[in-house]
Amino acid sequence: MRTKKIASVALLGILALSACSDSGEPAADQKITVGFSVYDMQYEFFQKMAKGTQDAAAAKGWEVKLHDEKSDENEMVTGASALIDQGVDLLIISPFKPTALGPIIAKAKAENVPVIVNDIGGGGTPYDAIVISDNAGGGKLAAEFMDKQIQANGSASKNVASITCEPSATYAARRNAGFKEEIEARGYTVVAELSGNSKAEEGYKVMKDILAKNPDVAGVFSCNDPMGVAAANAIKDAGKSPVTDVVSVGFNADPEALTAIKGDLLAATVAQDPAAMGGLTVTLGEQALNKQPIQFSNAAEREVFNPVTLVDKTNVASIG
Amino acid sequence: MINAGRIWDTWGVTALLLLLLLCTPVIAPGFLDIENLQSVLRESAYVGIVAVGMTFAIASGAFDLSVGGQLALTSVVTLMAFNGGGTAAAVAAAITTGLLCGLVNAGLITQLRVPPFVATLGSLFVFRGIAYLLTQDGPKTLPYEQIEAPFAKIGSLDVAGLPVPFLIMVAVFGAGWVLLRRTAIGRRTLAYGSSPSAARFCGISDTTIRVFVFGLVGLTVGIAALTYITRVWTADGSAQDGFELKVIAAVVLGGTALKGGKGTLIGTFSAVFLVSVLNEVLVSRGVESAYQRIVLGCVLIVALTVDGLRTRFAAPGSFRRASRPTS
Amino acid sequence: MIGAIKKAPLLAPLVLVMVVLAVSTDTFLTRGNLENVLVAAAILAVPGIAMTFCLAMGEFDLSIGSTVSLAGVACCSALIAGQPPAFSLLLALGVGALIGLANGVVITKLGVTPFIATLATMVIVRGASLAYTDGHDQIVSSPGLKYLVAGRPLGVPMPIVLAVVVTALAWWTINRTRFGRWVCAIGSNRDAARMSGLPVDRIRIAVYVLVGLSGGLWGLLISSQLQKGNGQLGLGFELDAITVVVLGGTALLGGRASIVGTVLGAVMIETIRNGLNLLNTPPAYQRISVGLLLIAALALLALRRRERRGAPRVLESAA
Repeated sequence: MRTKKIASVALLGILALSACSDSGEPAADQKITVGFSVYDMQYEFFQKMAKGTQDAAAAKGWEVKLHDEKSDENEMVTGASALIDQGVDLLIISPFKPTALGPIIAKAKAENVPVIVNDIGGGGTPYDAIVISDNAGGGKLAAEFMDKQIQANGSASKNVASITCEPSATYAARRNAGFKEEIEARGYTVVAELSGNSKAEEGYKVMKDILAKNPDVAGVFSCNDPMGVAAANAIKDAGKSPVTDVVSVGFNADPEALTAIKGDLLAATVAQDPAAMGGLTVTLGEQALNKQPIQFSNAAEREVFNPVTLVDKTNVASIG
Repeated sequence: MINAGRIWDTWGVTALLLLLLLCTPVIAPGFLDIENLQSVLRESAYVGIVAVGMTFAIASGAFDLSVGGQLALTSVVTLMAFNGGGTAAAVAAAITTGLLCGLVNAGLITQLRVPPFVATLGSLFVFRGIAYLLTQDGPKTLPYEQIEAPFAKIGSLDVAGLPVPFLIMVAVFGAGWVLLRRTAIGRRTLAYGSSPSAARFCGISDTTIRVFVFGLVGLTVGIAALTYITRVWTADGSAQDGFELKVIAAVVLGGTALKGGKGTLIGTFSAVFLVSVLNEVLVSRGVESAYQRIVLGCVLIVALTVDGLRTRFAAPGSFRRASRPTS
Repeated sequence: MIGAIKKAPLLAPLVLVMVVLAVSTDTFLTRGNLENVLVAAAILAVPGIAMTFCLAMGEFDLSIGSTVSLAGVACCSALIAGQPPAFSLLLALGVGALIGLANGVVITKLGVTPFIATLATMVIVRGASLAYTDGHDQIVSSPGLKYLVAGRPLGVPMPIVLAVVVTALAWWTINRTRFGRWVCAIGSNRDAARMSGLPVDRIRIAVYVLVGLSGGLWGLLISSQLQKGNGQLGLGFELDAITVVVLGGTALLGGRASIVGTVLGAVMIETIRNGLNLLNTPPAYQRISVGLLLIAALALLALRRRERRGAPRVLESAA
């Protein structure tokens, strides 16, 4: 027991020491500091989002403190709270788990720090504003394109498939929901709706299973590009074309999707613009700091939509 | 007589931790800010609490791969109970669910005679699967309106400057220490770990040890879920993927041998903080997450290499250390 | 071979699952679908077989998922840099073997527990893969690499050919060679094996190199399917590889290896996954069914062994 005491006394000692050293607070700086907590810097999408945020903030002469959530809800809460502790004036967050925003927003409210959410979702919390791609709208764009392309292919089949992200990604699920609504309105049947857990490896296997079950499937929509391109690869490996036989559409406009579209390995993708979204959060953040009213696309949820565009072979050269 | 090896077993990681802490003013200015220290103590609590149960499991010669699934399932059920019946219901649900998960594992091992490794690998899938089933319509959450509920405060409150989750963790470590060192069942667990067959000859039953150890793991998961869920306010089937590796790594890094018969809670305690302090230092140095991984991996190897080499050279001629408890 | 099949407790449940699927879907038994299942199972069986050696030795390797990622990245980067396919494939296998060698050396020469050593390499190798690619996909379009999954020598899909060759070699090694006996001897009692003069360290290193190599091959097959490499591929694959071995009965046998069991385990996992997809089942059920299956198969085997021996005994799977 004594040993345990020593360990905790040591920790307490350090706590006490630091409490003393904490007294000399530096004079309040006029420069505005923005905390940006980002989902996971391993992904190109979020690297671009961070770049867009930093560039927009730099243009205003603001300082940005970046925190990487590393796809972990515990890290997200810990790191974002730490940003608030460090005295940021504005918090921008792209949350790994939107439903874990609660404790962060509670802390921000207590410190009077406005919170702008970038993408993923708001988790039903009282954030100041959320910038979000129009996910359902993007799904509808994909359905419109798929319908046209299937007709152009002269396919008689009205069967299509939909590959979803992991079950917990409720906001990304809006893409598949928007797609399903629109494609069914156009007289098609979604014969398979399966999860590839957002992973390329699983997207490939799921597509193989779909092809085995429904050899006549005329199109497939995937919730993200890694699965979209993987599904297209599976279609190609089955001896079919991912453009003229089974119209494959992804979501995100990742570089691999753009490359695939140029090489006829993918029919289309839905482009989000993470850098523009980052820029938009800084603009909204400034408005929130100055207590100016924000123009919402959907005032009830304080959502500001960043438009999505459909990318196919005709316009792929102009993207990225 | 002074046995350097024995001291290292218990205090090696603690020494490393203190060394790292002494270096922080130089290598990570700002680390010693009070808020930052509180944050480190707070964020490590749920790993530390489960590590107590896992120390017993590993000391008994088995480990529990299902703790990640248990944490996800317990957290989901706890939130459902809170939303339905408030704080008391949530606490009861957390403890009951955790304990039940542990007893399911014990049942698989003792009644179906599945080895612990396989039983808990299987139940990892099952527990996570059930958590996914319960959250098919979206993650369970602690609603923002409940911000003032006492339950929601568990994760964020400080008492005398110390975060409540950390205090709970210290209490669990204290209770664990008493259980391991001062009770018959603790000594039996260690005896069983060093040699199950010898322990059986001495009248220690498999069932008692398995139920005790896996029930204890489940119980610690239940307690950990309370501190975890009140910090992140949300849970679904994917919560804390890979949690089992985090916990087992902390226990082994602390000096508890995977072959059983030896358990050190002080080591486990220090190892939990060694990992989180190191992580914090790397983050504050602006090290990218890819390189953070590399550094953490190397530290794991170096820390265990010291132990491995010592074992090798301390006991020439004998191939296996005699199992013995250290305190 | 027949003896080995008798030892494989999975055969009956597998047939049962297949019959259920044949009745409940009208597509399970189509040629295309069966080929699908077998190709997926073949890709899973190759690393499973290497892992069987590791578990027979009473150890396991957590780093294989990260090896998949780094090997794929190595191959694709080499292809992008204009290297010929043969060199790029060999490079990936070399990367895998090196990771295995590192594991083996750290475990045997530095005395680090396999669990922690391979956990550490898992984290380090994943970090290396992510750091090298900086989050970007290494996209290729290589017919040479594609041949690994799309090639059909004699009309048989290439992954199946690979798996059959690997299975035969592994079965022969375990059952007919000194090396196989040594691996099992280490698994039953390492100290006894050392005292009877076996080169225990070298055998253990060799097994980790084998697992590393199979991880490299796994990475090649995945990158061949997806025509890319990146830091995110292969996440959680270590659990898949260990699961098929455990399902095949090797962990429970302790000091014995069931290659046929592992192959059946891979077929079982992929059959269930495919079946649930054909039935349009939500993913949560897939996890639960794999878990229940693991427990049930092993419980059955354990009960059968108990009846045969009369003495209740829980075998430990040492880490």
